[in-house]
This record gives sequence, structure tokens and C-alpha cells, in this order.
Amino acid sequence: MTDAPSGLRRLDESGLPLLLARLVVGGAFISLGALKLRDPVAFLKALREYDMFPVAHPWLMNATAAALPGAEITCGLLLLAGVAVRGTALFLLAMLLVFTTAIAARASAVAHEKSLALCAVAFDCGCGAGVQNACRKLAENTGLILLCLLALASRSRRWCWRGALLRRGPAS
Amino acid sequence: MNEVARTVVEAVVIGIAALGVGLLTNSVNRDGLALDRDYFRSAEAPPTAARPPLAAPAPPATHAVPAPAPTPAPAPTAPPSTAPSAFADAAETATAERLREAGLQPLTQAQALAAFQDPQYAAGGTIFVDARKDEEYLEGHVPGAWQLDHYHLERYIDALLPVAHEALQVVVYCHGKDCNDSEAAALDLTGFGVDPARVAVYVGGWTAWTEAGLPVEKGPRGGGP
Repeated sequence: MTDAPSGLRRLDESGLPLLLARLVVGGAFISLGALKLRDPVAFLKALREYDMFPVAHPWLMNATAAALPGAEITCGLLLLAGVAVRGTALFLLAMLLVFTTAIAARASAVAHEKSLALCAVAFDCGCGAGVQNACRKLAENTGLILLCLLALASRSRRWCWRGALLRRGPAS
Repeated sequence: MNEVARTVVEAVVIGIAALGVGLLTNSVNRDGLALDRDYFRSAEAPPTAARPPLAAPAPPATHAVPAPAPTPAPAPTAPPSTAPSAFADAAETATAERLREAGLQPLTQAQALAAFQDPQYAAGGTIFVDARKDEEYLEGHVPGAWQLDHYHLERYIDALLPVAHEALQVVVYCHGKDCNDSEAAALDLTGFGVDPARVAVYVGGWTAWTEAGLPVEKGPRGGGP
């Protein structure tokens, strides 16, 4: 954002956009991770519906279902604390892109199968919140993706405990 | 290292650490998943491959739980007849067909009720097995039903198996026509050597049971209404 207009730069330097992104994305991942952690079997069953994992290697799907809830909570906590903000945002962005693509593909398949409009499709995407409208979920994920991009682009480290792991972030 | 490379390395480090924390959390979670278990084997394998020959001992390795020595089984009774038209709707009929393909006997509402009201039920000749999870079982189940959550087999199988081996009919149920857990639990039982001819799945399940206003027991088994 070094070339951004001074108004945008000043807004970024205030730390408020980054704080908002950290609170929303961090809070969302903590709450959704906690919901999945409460019922790992339900999450495993939901994952299976995506047909993304090889049947011959069940450990792969088991490990994914076992590791993701705790990983989401960990990343959410790191964002809230302001630790390794850009690295955490990039990891969450990668996860969100995979999740969102998978949800869009499945919603589209369900819409085709049941001859419904995409936004009339509701299913349990395994996101932790049970049965949800597909379009609403995709919109939520798009919002989270944009906030992750904001956290990646922000130069501010204000209200961050340790903004970067590999070097200290610039003083706010 | 430039800014982009630093961010990517940081993301990889964070990702590995977070997934490690996730696996660690799973290992201490009472409801955590066993990484090496094939939870959906039953539903995807051909029915003949899902169970060993009846005379063979139980296969503990496939379930990662110790299996007690098989109990000598009494002579099987004839399986109940299940006319497809007796099921409540097309979805139940389709589920029943899937169960038959898996080598299991689907039970209609009337057949399940008859099994419950049969004097053999009180004597243990017929048993009901609830394949839903703990919280749901405790909220209400068929009176006297045993519990067998396919995903946490090790908690229930040791208590249930001797009873299931002795029973003339084992009726397994879960939520209803849209759930696969009763099928998985039934195949668990046949995999442990319970005669498939005596294992039936109540297709309507808990939903149909409660909608019909039939008796409900709450809390642990024998806890009363």
C-alpha cells in the first residue's frame, strides 16, 4: 500500500482496517472451528459428501477432519492476538479458496441434480453451522477472503502482539 | 529474503504448526477420530466383503477394538418378510433396497413394532440397537435399546456383542431413512460374527418411532420414560 493515495495509506496506518479484519476473520474461524471440534464425526460425514478424498486412503480424510478444527481455532487465535498476521492470513486465504471452490462445486451439483437455482440450494457444507443456504455461505466466504486479502496487504502492525514471525514488524 | 517469500514461508510454518495443534487436539478429544480407521468401509464395500464367514472369529484389526471370542449362536429364525410396498414412501423403499443390496434386512414400521411387542423382546430374544450418538440416545430411545455408535465402536461393542450373539433378532435403527448409521452399525455386528439373517434395520428409525407416539425411554438403558 506504499503507492496508495495518502488517504488510504493514512487509514491503513491507523490500524483500524487490519483490526477489523483480524477480529472478523479470527472470530469466524474460532467459532466455526469450535463447532466442528464439538462433533468431529459430523464434520467427517460432511467432508465425505464432497468426494474429494481417495476411498483407498481413508486416513487422508480422517486426518483432514481431525486436524482442521484445531487448526482453524489456532489460526483464529493467532489473528486475534496479532501474531504472524500476514502468514496466518495467507494460510487462511488458501484454506478459504479451497473450501469455497468445493462448496460452489457441490452446491452447483446439487442444484443440477434437483433442478434448483443455485441460491435455492441449502445443505450442510461441513462448515460447522449445519444446513445453510449455499449462496449465503459463498457470500460469507467471499467476505472472509476479502478481509484476508486486506490483512495481507496492510502495512500496519498496530495492536499486534508480534506482527511477523520472521522479523519484527515496523513500530506502529 | 523478500517480503513475498517471507510471507509464504511464514504461512507454511503457521500452517504446519496449526495442523499439528489440530491433530494434537483431536488426540485428546474424547470424541476425536481414529486416523487409521475406515469409517465408511461398510457403506462402500461389497456386502460379501464386509463381513467374514460366520464361523470365523471376529476381525478386531478392521475395527481397532478388541473383539471378545465369538459366542456359540443359537439356530437362526427365519428372516421376516419385507414387501417393498409396505414402506412409508419412495425414499424408504429406496433405502430398503440399498439395505438389501448390502445383505441386510429392512424392517417396516409394522415389523419393528411387532418385534418390540413380541414377548421375545422382554426375554432378550429380540434386541433393539440404537446407532445414534450419545446425546441423542440419552435424549430418548426405544425402551431397552442397546447402543452402538459406529464411530465410537470401542465404547459399546464389548457389552453388546454377547447379547447380540444370543439374540434371535437384532433390530438396528438410527434417525430414519436418510441416515446410514444403522446400516454401518448392522454391518459392524455382522462383521463381528453376528448372523446376518438375524440382523435387521428399522428403516423408519427414530423419526418414525416418535412420530407414531410409541414408547420412549430417556437417559441410560433401563432409565425409564
